[in-house]
Amino acid sequence: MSDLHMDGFTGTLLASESLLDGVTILHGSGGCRSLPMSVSIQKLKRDHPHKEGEFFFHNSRMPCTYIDLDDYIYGASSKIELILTMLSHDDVRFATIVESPGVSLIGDSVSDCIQSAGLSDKAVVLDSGYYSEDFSTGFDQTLTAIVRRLYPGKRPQRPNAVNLIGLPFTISGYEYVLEELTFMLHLIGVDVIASIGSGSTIRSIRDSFEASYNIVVIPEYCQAIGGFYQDIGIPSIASPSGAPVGYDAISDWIASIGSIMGLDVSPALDLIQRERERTERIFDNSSERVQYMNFRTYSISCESSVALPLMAWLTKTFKMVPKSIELIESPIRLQEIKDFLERIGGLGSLEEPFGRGYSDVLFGIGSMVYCLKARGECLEAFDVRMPSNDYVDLMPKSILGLQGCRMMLDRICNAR
Amino acid sequence: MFQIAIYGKGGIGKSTISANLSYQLSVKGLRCVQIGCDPKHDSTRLLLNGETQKTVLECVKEGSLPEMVRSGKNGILCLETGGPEPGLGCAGRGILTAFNIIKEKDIISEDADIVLYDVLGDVVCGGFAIPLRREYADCVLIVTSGEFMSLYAANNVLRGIRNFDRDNKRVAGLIFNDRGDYRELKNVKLFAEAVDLPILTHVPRSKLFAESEAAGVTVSESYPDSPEAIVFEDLADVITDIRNGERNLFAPHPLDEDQMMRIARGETVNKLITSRHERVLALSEKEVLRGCGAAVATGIFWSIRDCDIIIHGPASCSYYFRSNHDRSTIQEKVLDRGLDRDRVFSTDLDERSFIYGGCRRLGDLLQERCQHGSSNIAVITTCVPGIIGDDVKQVCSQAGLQYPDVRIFPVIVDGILKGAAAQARKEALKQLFTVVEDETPRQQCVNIIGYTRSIDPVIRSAEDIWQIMDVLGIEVNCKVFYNNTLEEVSHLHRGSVNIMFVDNYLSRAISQSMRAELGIQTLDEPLPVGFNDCYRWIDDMATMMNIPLDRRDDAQKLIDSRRKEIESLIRPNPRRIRVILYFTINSHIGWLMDILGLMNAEVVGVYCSVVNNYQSEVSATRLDIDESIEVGYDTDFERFKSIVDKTDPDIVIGNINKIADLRTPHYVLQELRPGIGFTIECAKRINRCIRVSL
Repeated sequence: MSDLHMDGFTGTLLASESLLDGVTILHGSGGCRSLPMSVSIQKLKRDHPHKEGEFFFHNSRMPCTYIDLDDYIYGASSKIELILTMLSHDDVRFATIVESPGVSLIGDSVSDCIQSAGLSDKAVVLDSGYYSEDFSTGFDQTLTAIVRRLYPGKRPQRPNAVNLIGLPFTISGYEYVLEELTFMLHLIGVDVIASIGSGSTIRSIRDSFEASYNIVVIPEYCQAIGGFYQDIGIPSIASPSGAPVGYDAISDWIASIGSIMGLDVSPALDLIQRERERTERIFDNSSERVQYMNFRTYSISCESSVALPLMAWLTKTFKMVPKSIELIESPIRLQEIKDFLERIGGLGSLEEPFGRGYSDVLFGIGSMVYCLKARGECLEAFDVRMPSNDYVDLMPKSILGLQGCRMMLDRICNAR
Repeated sequence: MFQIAIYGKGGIGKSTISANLSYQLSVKGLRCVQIGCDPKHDSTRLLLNGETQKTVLECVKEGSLPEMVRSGKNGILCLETGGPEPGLGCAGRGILTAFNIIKEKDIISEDADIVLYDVLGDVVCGGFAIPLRREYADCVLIVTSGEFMSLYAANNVLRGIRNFDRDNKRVAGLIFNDRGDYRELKNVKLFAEAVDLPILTHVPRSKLFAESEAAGVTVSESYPDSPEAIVFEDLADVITDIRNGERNLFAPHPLDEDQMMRIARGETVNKLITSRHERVLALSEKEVLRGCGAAVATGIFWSIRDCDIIIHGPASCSYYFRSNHDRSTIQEKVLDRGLDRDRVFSTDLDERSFIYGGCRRLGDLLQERCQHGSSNIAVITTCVPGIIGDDVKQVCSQAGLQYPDVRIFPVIVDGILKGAAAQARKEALKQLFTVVEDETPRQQCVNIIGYTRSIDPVIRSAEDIWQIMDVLGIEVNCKVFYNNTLEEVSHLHRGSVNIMFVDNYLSRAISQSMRAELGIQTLDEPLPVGFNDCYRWIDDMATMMNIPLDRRDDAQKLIDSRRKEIESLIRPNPRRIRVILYFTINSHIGWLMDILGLMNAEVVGVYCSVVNNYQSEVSATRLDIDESIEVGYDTDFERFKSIVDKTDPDIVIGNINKIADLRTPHYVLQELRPGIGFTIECAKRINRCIRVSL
């Protein structure tokens, strides 16, 4: 079972949507609007005022020029002028204007329209929708363009105040991860000003320039934006273990922050240790069931910075072995993953296509792993990224953070 | 940095003029950059001793970025955007991409004094108009001869500028490149006067140009004291004046066709500022083109389980189509039906394919799938191949010749370029129906159109309607299209008639195509919903298909027993309840009126949502209900809301999700199923809705 991954164009639209009080204006066809609009509505919690009529047609997000054949032939500058009038409304504070892959061939100049309307401060135009790139590039570059436009100039830095970067809202259960990481940072005396890419506001982005550091969650999603902040004097802190997945990597994540910021991280490490001991006690009392999952196989399709700590944790906790490892979004930890796999004799898993043949536990795109589970091609499946199924998630379900550890332990132990 | 765009008809001498102008400006000590914007990439040749340089696009392709800029005469930096071979891909896109690269990579230093864009011919598409964008050109020069086609191109350039600028002033004037006909000057003067532009210079016809070009240099360099070189020296002075704000720029005033014809006849044209042609834009709910045709076509071929699908377009499109499919697969819990995802492939068209065309990628993927053993492949096109002009049919027929055992369906819907969902569906079905064989219809054998499985397990698959058909002895030949094989589709003619599963837009569209392509008729009435409908339908079918009386009676007995169930379930409300209905126009609501009647409910109005122009061809025009009830057609939700506010009903029922936004108690009917089971379940839920809400 193969899969298609989100590309940079979807990344661009969703990154723009992550700005809660911003508007994404899509210059393209209605079809291009459907998927990102519904993802935005479903995943980002904000008010959705009712919008009827031109450019909206019953949906509150992502007004669209709905181009047609005539627009392709004659250009759509009149439609652009019309749709851009919404920028002059007081309730529209900032807009990202994105051109769809098809419409970028027409050569309409949105930038000129914005400039002649004197609205440059209120909008950023992305006439290259990153459709040839991977999702993370589109997401990261778009956020960088937005942040750059909202940069108010150098601000005094607040000690022990940070931003979280590299936590896109497309990661399943991102909001719970955000809450938990913010809480852990709070325990060591660090305030989170903004989390860029997981539902920030114009104000929080403007305030983000007061941070002393940016804390990286998943590096694949913040290469460009980290570079931008670095250039204006806000360096990034990334954990050597990658994303905070599994108790060891979570501890490393917090420890690396403490080490660079010169803080005592024992309150957070104590919390992690207590949680680890609690789950171990449950394990000890149910050893038979835990044993049942030992020496099973797992397959992973995700970012290398998530895969690396996840593999380490599965090996350590359940003595599982990899069946297939598919790395997406320009794998920046590839060598370390190869080294790890070589040590456990699993290098061949990098060559195995994900989703082909049985694997006891699967981590991958929600809809895909659920299909495989329903077909009996695994015992347990974890939805780590979009598209998910239609489940309305009210419970923390990310594999990141302490809650992630508990959820994975709970479901793997009980997999039958 | 001052930026100049030089436009004019192809072959008019723009490159010669640009190179001479760059040269003269550099002689004046200005740091110049010349960028050739023509796929044939020969603009900078005269500044590089006759050598052709690598284009920006070639350098990106080969990963040799430093080679994209070469230093020419007097340190003039030379670039060529490049582009595809004639007849392939999109040259305009090539320019756009090259400009993006130049910008992203910061190729042009801020130190440059002059950047000169030498742009191919006429403004034929948006890509060629890129240098006109405000961020690039501070001023525009138009090269023309006195020949009509050249003036026509010059006028088109003015139209292009006007589209960007309206009345802003960015045009410096005309450069008259003399081709040697004595009448030319008069024509250029007439044109210049009509469009209110100065003739900046008159470049004479001279052998020196040919000689210099043969030597790979500009005339300004090889004969610096010649009158020809002095023309360019003067022109460089003009540019310097404009740059220093000492000379005016002008607004574009293009001529209309009639005025251009007068110029061609050598007649004077009154100075008229022509207005830009205002197009009527499709903006309203009725007119706007919603949805994606390629997504619809993909859905149709996805329901044919032994057919692979190649989506010819960017990766975003395939991702979107597959997400739709995955959601419905999981919702419907129909994983057993074999509609897995291994059958969908994408050419993942990217920036390069936009420029050079995507046929090769498609050909390679088709080849790969054929070699992997695919026996049926549908190739579905998105907007991009439609715009860049990929000859998908040709690629498919070539693959077909190479692999004669593989059936390839070229489904050329071009995303939205051929219309909306309706038009794409028609095209996809036309292709699919090419497999249908000529056969004699079987007696009492029908095709069911538009069958879908419900996600609601209580009303899952309209089981009782299959029971009724079984008792009547009616055989279902094919459920069109639900998890079919091409073999099943090929035998569609075995069904003597089509029956719509429910009357909706999809069923009507498929029926229309089956009638048009295969000549199979569809009954006006869909499968019956509710007991009254069922009694009537059994009678009609028995008569039409010569079904024996005893079978008809047995089928009616099945309805009798369910009727008692529904009557025992519904108690009339003590108070009369006022109900408003809001449905799509093709909805069958007779059964609902029956149920509401039993509940002592009064329907005070029925409203139908807007029928888009793209759907109107197969939509019903009127609802078939009692004339005493007020009916409103083409009612958008805003209007419906105001009607609800005014009428203040007790409850609103409909099949349009937006009614969930109403404060008035409401019940959203998710899906309509034929038979009695569905109506019983709905009756229960409407009853509960009334109890809970009131």
